[in-house]
Amino acid sequence: MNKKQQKDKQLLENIDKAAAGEKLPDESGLDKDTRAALELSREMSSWPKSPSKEFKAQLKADLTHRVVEQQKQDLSKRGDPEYRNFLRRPAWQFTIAGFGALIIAAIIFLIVYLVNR
Amino acid sequence: MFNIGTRKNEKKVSDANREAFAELYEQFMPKVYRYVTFRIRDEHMAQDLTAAVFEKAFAKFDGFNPQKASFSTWIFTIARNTVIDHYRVYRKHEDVVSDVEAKATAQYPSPEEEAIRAENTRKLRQFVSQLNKREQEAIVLKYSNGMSNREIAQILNLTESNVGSILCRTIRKLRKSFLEWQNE
Repeated sequence: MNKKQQKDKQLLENIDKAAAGEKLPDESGLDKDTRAALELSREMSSWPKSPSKEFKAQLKADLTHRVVEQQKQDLSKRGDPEYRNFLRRPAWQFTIAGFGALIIAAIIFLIVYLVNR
Repeated sequence: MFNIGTRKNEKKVSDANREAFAELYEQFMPKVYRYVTFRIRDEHMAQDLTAAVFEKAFAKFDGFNPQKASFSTWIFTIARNTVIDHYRVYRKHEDVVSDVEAKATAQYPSPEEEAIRAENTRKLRQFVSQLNKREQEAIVLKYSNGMSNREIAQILNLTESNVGSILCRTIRKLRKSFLEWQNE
């Protein structure tokens, strides 16, 4: 590793520390250019802001509202899935088929009865 | 994990997606906000853009594939494009954050020191905004959230060593511009 590569490596390590808000080691061992570069790094690390609790909560509420609206739209487009699933249950289908068969048998019985009378 | 649904369990998977999104929101929203405030001077605009990022992310979340990219890469790509679109619309290329300067200078006791500090910050921001796009992105991602070079490389589609070189070169370039300006 040549001298320039070593300097770059040292600079990158210190940039990472400055960017992460970590305390830098004794800077007296660093060369002038690296110290100056780290000064800029510290300055730039102070620029971004954290969101306020109010904004964070407000945006979350907006997104939640959007979710609810989307769910409502989905339901109105596709119909209530609970209702559809209920109709698809085997026990329910068996009951409907049983009633149907019973009605048909009753009609046949009635016709036969009336014809033979 | 997120997109395994058949039609039959579509609702169930969609709900799981929403829960996953809610967790990721908690984790990434502050990071995205920091990224945006590094680049946008106006706090209200930064809030609007952060909201836009998460609205877009929510709308596209069913299509997010964690096999292809991490959520971090995905959301910062959306954030990056949202900020680029913003600049495209407003045609503003200088992003000097005045109220950050005001807050940053509040710790300086004398008005003269405050003024010097504010001017230094303003000038440094100007130099950052004059960097090419790739250099700007590397600087913003590094200093807004302290991202590793690997994370930055994934977002910018570069190699890790490339990112390291760009950062070293850019910091030195900024330092040089800053020094020249101070010696004027």
